[in-house]
Amino acid sequence: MWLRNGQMETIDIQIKDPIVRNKVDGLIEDLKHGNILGSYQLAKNTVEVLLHMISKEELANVKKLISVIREQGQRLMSAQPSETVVGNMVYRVLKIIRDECRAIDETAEEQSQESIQKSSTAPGDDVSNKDILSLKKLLLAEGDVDISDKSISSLKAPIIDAVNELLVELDTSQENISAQALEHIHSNEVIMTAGQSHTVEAFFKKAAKKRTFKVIVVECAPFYQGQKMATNLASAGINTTLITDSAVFAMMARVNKVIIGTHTVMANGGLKAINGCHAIALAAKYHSVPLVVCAPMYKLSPKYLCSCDQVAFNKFASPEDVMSFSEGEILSKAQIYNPIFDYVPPELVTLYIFNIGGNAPSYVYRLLSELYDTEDQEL
Amino acid sequence: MPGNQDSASRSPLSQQTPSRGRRKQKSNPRGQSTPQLQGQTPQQNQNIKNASPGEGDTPKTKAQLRAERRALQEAQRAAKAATKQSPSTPVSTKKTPRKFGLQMQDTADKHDKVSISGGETPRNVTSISTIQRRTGFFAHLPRYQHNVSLTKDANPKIHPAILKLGLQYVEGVICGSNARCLALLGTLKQVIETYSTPKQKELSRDLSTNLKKNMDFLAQSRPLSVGMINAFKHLKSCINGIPREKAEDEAKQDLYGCIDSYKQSILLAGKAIAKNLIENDKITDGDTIMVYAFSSLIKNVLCEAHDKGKTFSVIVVDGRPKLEGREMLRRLVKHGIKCSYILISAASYVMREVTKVLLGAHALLANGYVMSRVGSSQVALIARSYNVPVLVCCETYKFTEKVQTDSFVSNELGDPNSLVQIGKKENYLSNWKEQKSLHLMNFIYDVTPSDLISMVITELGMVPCTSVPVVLRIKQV
Amino acid sequence: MNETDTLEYFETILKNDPEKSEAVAAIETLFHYIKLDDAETLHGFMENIQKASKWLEESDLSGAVTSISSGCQLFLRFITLAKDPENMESDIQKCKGILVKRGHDFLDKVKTLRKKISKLANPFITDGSTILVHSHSRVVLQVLKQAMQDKKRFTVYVTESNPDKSGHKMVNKLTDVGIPAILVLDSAMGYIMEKIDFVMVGAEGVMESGGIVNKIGTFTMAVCAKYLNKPVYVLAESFKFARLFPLSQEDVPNKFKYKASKLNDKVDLTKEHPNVDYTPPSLLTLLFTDLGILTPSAVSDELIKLYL
Repeated sequence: MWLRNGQMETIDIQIKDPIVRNKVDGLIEDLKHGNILGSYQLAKNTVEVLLHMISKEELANVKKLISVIREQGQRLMSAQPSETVVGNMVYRVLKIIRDECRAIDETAEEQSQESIQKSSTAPGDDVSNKDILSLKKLLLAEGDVDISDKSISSLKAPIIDAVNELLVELDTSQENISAQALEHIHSNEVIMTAGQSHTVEAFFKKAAKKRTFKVIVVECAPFYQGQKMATNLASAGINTTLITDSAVFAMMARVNKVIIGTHTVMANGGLKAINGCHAIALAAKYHSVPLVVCAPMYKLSPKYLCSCDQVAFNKFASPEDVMSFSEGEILSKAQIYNPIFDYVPPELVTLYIFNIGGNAPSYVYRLLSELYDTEDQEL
Repeated sequence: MPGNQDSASRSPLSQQTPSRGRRKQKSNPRGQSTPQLQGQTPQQNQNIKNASPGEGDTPKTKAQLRAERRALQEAQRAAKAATKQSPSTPVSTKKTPRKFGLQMQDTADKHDKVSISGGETPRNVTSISTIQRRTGFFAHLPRYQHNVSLTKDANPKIHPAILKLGLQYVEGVICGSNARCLALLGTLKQVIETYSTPKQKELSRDLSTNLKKNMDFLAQSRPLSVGMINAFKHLKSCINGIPREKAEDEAKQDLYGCIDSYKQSILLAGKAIAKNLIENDKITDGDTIMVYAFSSLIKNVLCEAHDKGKTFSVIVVDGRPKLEGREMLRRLVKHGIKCSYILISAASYVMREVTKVLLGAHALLANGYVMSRVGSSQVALIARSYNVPVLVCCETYKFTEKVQTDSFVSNELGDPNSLVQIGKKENYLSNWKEQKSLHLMNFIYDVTPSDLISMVITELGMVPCTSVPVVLRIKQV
Repeated sequence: MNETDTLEYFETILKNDPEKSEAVAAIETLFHYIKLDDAETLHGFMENIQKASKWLEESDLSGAVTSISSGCQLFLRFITLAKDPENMESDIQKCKGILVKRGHDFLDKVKTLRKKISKLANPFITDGSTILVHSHSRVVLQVLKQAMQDKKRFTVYVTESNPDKSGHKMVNKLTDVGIPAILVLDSAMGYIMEKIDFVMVGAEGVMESGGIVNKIGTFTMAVCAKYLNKPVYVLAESFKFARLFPLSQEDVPNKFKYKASKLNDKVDLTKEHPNVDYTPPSLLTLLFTDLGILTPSAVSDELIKLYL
């Protein structure tokens, strides 16, 4: 159902191609059972499924394509609401489709009209001007670009190209982040990190080739990924010290930088990170230690945190990790919590290192507007 | 230290008897191990023994003695070089495992592993790698010793009750500042009971030296807590106050009285603190109180508040590796208090529901900082960011003149191996010792800055953190 | 159309629809003015419109000078955008025609702005929240009403907001709709702050820095909230964005702070009570506008896009 200008239109949004349908259902199953580990893998799988959908599905026009993707995207997102990467990728693909449409529109307009008279547009601001909701748009009373009846044939190729580019971006994001390592780590630094992040691990390993520094890893009970990280770093020859979560504030007095990875970057520049990161961020703020977050762009989410109990913000794991069932007697009388994620507000973060470069948390809104279209926000 | 005072004052070369040589090895836990003694074989000891002049020799001139000492030094250096170059020698230093293995074995193990992993390791690498594994933030503190020989070559002057106490400290049977202090006072009482003044000696002086030796021994087994130091100071001042003429039995009675009253004051202080909290409505109905790890004082306070009919719930926060919070949880649940349990990493998540944080303390420093179990400062920091008041309960006997601004200058190190165990899961760190670049850090205390603390409750009343020197001044008067 | 007629028209609009924002009323007035204006050249046309905006700003009909000012500025910008260089010399009628059409669309859109804002702000009001609002703000009122209709339960504290005691009006309106509202003294906002979950205020003007100009007392409230780590949410329509950058309270133009009549009478301003104050962006958490949820740093971005 698509509500547009007050008219209700029903559109056939069933996937016709059985292979594509299987793929989508397969992905949904994987999401529900948690078979896919790691945001990168999830992102890749989602984009691949969407790519299949675009290339294989027989659709009349762009409007139908967008609605199919929205519908299927909604199914994917509701399969595992706490994994924001799935939603991010769906929005990215939708934005790609809209961008390609607008690009074709622009060229068509330019060809039909001789006057390149666009006094209203600032130089070099063509495509972005029209799709960003802005004051200007309000004033110029431009209607939303009507993409409903564009034929899909001319668009399919460029869309598929752009989605493939997105896949390449996913693959190279870790490399691009590590390439910036030497700019941020100097010799004889003491750096603190928490839990296990493949991005940060690669970051350190790259820097260790040319610099000597010490790393303090927080173990992050009760999942203990920090221990795995510590062994990995130590096998790479980096001087690593492992500490418990309770020692963070005490150790922070000797730390020069904190570099962590994150699960998601929220729209206001805050973080949804592993449990315990808020305490680390507070300790860093107290001791005036910069907090640097390494995050690939696919982790950037357009969602805001409304309150800590926001539906699908936090997940809870089995309390057995905290206190085993063998302590049965007290278990029955006490409540045990085991949250997985933690929210870190943007004022505690000093710098983000994305694959496109470093940015302050205050600039995240801008990156969002480049990656995602506001029209898809109500999904 | 018993026996070591003699050796420490003299040059390390004039070690004559084997017992003294071994006593010297015992001096290693204090500060950096002297490189000379590492990997010393009994053969080396023999060399030294033979090299040094026998006890029955005619007195030599100063110059001759000096020359002999220099020769010994050279011999020792040569011996050390020989040890480092021959990978086989470390093997022979391994004594047969005993119930309380030699502390030497620990360092020998390190050598062992280093030489085995490296094969024919060149001398420099060995020494560097061993030094690397020990340097770090806490290089100035005594390393954790888990195989300290206590009963072996025990100085006969150490009282058996003290030996037992030392063992209990090391094994962790008695832990917690109040428990340790009360146990110490009880044991000191026993020591005084069996003590008898030798002839020609004054009770006060001799008893002081005797007790000092015992305390040094305890300090060696596990560093003394501030409470224990203060208690001992109090006892010493009592002893010094005994007039010469007093009969031994009477003096002893006085001392018993002194110890008992101190013990009582500690216990009563606990009760007074609970009373202060409850009567001043600092624990109100409907409160959600957060506590960290285990503190006997906090436990008593909460139990008493519950008995007085206050309805509140408690969130127990726990930290690895000691996981003392479980004990706290057990006791509170047994008492019938509604409890929740989390690990410290989840503290930020639950802090929104918390109305107060109650922390115990190991010591209160003169600049207003609180030394407590590692992790308390973190709980205090998170509480401050959510505007939750942090209350520290501490008896005045734990107040000290010391000042500290961070947790590094003075701390106690724990067993790094205790970080390896993670319950049912596969241990990721089971081979941590083989990885040269990996260190595990486990320390016991941390220091909480005064701006994170709202109030300190003592038996004298509620004071702000910064009033510690005021209290100390009052107590001295 | 002369000054009195313009102001009369403005007054009528305000009387007919008290819920309408003053800025929208001002824009409607200017729009009406365009239709009736009889200037022959574009230049004259511009001058007349600027005159009209000045009349509206200087009238004492409403207290919200800031939003009127930014609204008029926006309208003027609207005109400059519509200027077609090709048609500069010729057809002013054609220009007017375009403007009238655009104006219609603009005014239509403007009516839906508050709805958009309340949709964005709705998820932030959760069950059991305690909200602090300052003085009387129609946008905040709409958001709260919407949340009430969505069956959420929350409590609202309203500051009395001297000197015009508009807090009373707000409390009455809230209780009429069934929202539990409690009036607090202005001086009690620090006292009440520990019970609050978040602060929600409107804005008369959103500055280029990302800060806001709002009824006096907003700055104090934001400082208290910051000290106690409570989020401050600002609800503002996009036509309130202004190209000003105050550096301090003194730096806010006098025409915003004091009534025009007082300024004209050359009264000693040091003895006068200002009507508005400036809250810097570091004290604000998020701004809810019809352009989306913005962090204070994003405001400048929007303004740059518009004016440059």
